Amino acid sequence: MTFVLRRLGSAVPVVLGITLVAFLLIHAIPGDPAAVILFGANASPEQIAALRTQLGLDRSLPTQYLDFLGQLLHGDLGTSYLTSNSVAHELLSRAPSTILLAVSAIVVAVVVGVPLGLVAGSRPGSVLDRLARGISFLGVAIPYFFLALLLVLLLSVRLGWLPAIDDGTPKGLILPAVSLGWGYAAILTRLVRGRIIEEYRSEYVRSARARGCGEGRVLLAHALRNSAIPAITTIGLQFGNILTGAAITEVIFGRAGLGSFLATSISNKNIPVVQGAIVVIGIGYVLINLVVDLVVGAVDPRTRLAGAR
Amino acid sequence: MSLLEVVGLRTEIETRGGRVRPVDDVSFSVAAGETLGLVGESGSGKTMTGMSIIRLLPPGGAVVGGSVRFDGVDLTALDDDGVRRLRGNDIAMISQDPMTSLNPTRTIGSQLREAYRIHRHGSRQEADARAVEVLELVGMPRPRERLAAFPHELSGGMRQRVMIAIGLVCEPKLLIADEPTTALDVSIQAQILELLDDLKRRLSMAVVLITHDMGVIAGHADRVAVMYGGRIVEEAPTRALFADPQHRYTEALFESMPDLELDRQVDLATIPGTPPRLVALGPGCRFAPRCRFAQDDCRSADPDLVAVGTDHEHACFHPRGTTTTADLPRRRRREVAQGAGASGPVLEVTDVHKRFELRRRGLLGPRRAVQAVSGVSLQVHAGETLGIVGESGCGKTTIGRMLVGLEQPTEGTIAFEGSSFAGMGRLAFRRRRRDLQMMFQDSAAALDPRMTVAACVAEPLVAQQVGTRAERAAVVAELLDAVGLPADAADRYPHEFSGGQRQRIAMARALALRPKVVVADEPVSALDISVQAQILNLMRSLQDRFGLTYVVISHDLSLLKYLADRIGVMYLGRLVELGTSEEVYGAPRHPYTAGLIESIPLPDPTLERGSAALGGELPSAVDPPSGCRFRTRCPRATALCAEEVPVLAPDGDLHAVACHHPLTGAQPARTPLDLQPQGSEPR
Amino acid sequence: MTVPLLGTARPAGRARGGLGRVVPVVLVVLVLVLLLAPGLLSRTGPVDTTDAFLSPPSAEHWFGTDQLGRDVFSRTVFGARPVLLASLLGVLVAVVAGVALGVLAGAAPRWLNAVLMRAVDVLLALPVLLIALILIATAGSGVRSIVIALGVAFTPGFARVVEASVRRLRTAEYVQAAHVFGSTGLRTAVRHLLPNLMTEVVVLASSAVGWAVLTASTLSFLGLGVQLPQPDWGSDLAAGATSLATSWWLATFPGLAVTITILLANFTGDQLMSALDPRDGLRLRQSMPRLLGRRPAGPAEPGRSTGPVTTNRDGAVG
Repeated sequence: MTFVLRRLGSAVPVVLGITLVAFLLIHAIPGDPAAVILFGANASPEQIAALRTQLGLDRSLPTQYLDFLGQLLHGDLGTSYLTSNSVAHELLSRAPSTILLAVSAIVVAVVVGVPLGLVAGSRPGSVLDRLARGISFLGVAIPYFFLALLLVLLLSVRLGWLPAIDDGTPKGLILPAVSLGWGYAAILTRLVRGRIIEEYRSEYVRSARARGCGEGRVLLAHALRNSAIPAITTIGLQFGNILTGAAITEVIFGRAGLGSFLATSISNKNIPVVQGAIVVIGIGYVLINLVVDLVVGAVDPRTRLAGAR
Repeated sequence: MSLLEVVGLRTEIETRGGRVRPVDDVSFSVAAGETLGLVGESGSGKTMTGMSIIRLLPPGGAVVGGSVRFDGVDLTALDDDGVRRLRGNDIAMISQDPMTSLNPTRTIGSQLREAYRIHRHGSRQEADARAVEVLELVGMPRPRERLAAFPHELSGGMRQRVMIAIGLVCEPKLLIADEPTTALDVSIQAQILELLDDLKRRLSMAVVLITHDMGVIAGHADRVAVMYGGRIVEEAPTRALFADPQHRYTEALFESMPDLELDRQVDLATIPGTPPRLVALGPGCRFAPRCRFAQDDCRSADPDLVAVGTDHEHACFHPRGTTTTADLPRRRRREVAQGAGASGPVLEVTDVHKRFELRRRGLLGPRRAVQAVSGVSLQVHAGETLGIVGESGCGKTTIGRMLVGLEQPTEGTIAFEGSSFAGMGRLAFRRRRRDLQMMFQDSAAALDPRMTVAACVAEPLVAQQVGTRAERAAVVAELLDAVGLPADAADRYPHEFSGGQRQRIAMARALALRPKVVVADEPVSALDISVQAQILNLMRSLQDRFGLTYVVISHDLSLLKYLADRIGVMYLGRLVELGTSEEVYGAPRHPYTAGLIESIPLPDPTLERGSAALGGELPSAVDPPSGCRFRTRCPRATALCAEEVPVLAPDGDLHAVACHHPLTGAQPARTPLDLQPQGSEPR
Repeated sequence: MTVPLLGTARPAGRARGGLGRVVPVVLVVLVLVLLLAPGLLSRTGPVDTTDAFLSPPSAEHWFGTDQLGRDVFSRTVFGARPVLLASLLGVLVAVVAGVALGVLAGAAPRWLNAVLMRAVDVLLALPVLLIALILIATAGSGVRSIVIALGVAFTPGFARVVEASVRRLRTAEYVQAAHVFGSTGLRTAVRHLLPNLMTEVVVLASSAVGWAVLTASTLSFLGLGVQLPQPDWGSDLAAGATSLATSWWLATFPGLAVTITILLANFTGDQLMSALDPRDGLRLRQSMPRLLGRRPAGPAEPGRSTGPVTTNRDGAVG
């Protein structure tokens, strides 16, 4: 229990920091935000001044920040400049599809990467190990957007097995998920392989063998369990990158989701949307890693003692 | 018939450095109910011998010759699965480090059940019942509750009990115990060894006890096989071996043990050189390069084992007792008059406390701190060697670090030649450091891997801006010579040297600034016995040559008995006894000291061994017992001990003790040592 | 269980094959040529048009030509500069800033360490691409923005690793030994901490280049790098993607170029790792995926975390 509290405690300043970064963004944009919003409307100085008052930009920075925080606490992420819809609504309506893709990619990464790492790590130097290492070496190097194109060229255009454009069917999800997940599968393979080799050298594996555990049991009941910990943390730490990767993959496959929405928002300098995205993704990342730490705490009881510094 | 019969066993390991033969033509047998001690230094192949029996070799290792018959079955002819079915079932193994031998992410219950369910295919309930049974057998308090505990929640001694319990789950016929107590404190070691003896008797197991410690062997093995360089060089019943060792290596090993040296003024006998690396060995006796009796025949042929008495065999062309004349190196006798109080104190420690803050328990919990050192006062006199002894967590290392200014006391003062560190300015303090140097326990970690030996040794001079480049080079050359390293060592890197040589480098560096006091933290605990003696002799000769004062910190009381003039005994942050080494060792006044002395496994098989002298476990230093901290384990404790903190009685500043009920001191806890191997040559 | 011989049996200087020595030299020369004088490799300029439109790879045009008749080989060669420049400079910025921040935090008192590392945590909570996109949105697109973005995005990763190493090294016995003979804090840092830190940083940096190339080409793939018609792997890949079915070579060659660059960067990282101590190499390799992560995970030393305690008894007895 104290472990959970302590982890929560250390997450609070990070969350505050994220909101601060998001808040300061509006002032980092060159030029007057109000002028930016009304750009193209040929606004008069009076209109701009009125908007400044409306947005609270004429007040001191700390007051503005506190207002911003207060709105956040009520789930209010502001209003999109372009559509006048609530940012929270705009983000939430598009998020599920992106999250689905990200999760599918993680599933691909785990399903491909972990077994490959296990096989390679339990027989280092074997043919299978070399194969696994080759695959992972290439997997880490090939950019997912390039892999996506190659897969489309091969499996959709040439062979016609899978749709090139994501049509919302489960079949349409396969290519995006594989192209995005492959690189992370490669990372997991390397990680799990290294850990398994390390665990195999450890004293407790030898004692497990000494009490008569077969190789399968040694691998699955002992070594894998301890190798799972860095794999889980890595997925947590990469979550933000997987999410942005999903957004870009969506654009390539013509999937509706956060990707194109965010891209247009950034190029239009639609600040509330960008702020909202920073806050949501940042806090999402913190939460995911909180969960990861709790899971790791359940798998490895020692971390509950050591905890976050 | 013997339960285990090993004949001509050979094991090879392919490594990048070449093909290693850690086990080379080894034969022995063990009967049910018997303990065979397999003793040797690091790299002697004793562990690999044990592992070869149950085929648990490191990658690249394989048994390449010989046979292992266990209970009528040839294990070398079995397939992997056949051997696996024996492991943990008929043959159990306990390994050295209980900290790493248990899977940290599984409960001890699940690890106990595992062996049972693999071999007995029982239900979970049956497995649980058996787990509780074996935990009871190994003396684990509240066994049923412990099933859900994780390894890190137990102390080292308790973890080793769990390891033993796991081994016992399927009632094995043979137990291979690989250094089962090396990682444990002396008092816990005594408990575990006693437990093993007891279990062996009750379950009539055969035990192969692998260890480097002659003391452990003497008390707990029925027969001993001495290994050197991958071979058995001598095998005999324990008493016969200790009374009349034949092989020159065995003899030399006995001579170099500080436990056995009675005359503190004479240097220890040493074995020159280091144990062989088992790659590309020549044809001769493996000990020949280090043997002072070696002749030409020793270098050209490897002697076979020959029988010299009942069950006594050795592999030596010129065993002890044969009249080979070798130039016996005269061992140096110290001429400098030693003794406490010869001159005034150089270091004065006054009521020093050291607390380490811990994280609060919970967000609003009370502040917690480890009481590493609580109110220690002592003086170090010029020219003496002060030993500080205690078990892990007693605060001895913290004291050492405070003496050289690596830690600042939370309370109290430490003064060097009358001036306290605390009041000193930065520059003055840095200047002062020249007089106070430290030797670390792990010389591999204490030398920067990126610096040459010359740079390492010269570094203190550079840091203190002493001398020119040429002068420093001269000092380095002189120091390397003084510590017995060749001049060409200067341009090499620390990792190219063996542990003993690295400790010499560390010593040279500590002496570079010509300090007055050297604090040595476990200076030899990582070294083999034969190398250990070399370093101890070196420390003493340097003390005479440079007029050094030593503070030696060690867990090993028998070592300090030899090396130190005075000994301070620490327990859980307090100094409980302080006196000359003869007094402390010969007539301890604190019950803890007495228990500690009794726990030391002495290399004498004729000694009657009672039950472990110190029961129980070390209490937590976060929340130490009130009053006398030892009272929870003390047989003499009374209500007074819980109420009042005993002070270290000044008692004319000789042999002080902090105890309400001190031992009289008239009757020593144990008869004075008379352990000279009988019939050994006069030295 | 120890095999005591394994440690000593390792030869001091690993003898490596001729290939291991030649490859790095070739690599450095190639990178320099691509950065400074790509014209040496390609006769035609990247924006020169020819009569051949959309011709597949041939002896004349090794990688084929595009819709405007531009030579794809030439564009691939010249397209290396923006990506390489941005990633190398970006990583350089991150190394300098990350090491400075890490050393500062590692040596700082507790409260300052907490403030600095929480700030690092905040940056780590934001995905690399999001940081880059935001910076480009505020400062405009182009190589300079990408460099700044990569620098900002990778700095926390280096800071984390360096901070952890500094904390570890500060308790290393040879650093403590330096204290005992009166070495000043600054001298110890320069003489002991930095050299022992640098191998780790160099190895991490070489692999970070791989990540940086990926990020930089993603950004230009999104049209936020060099503006057309200037050649750039990412934007050329994006441009070729639309006509993938008909003219596969347009997207494939820039894509392969990115892949091979990342492959070589990772390979160099691996070589550097194994040139170090093998054990150390393994440890580093495992910390790699965490370069962009939040903190060096893995349990701290369990059990008795109660200040300095001596437990050692005769460590290596075989």
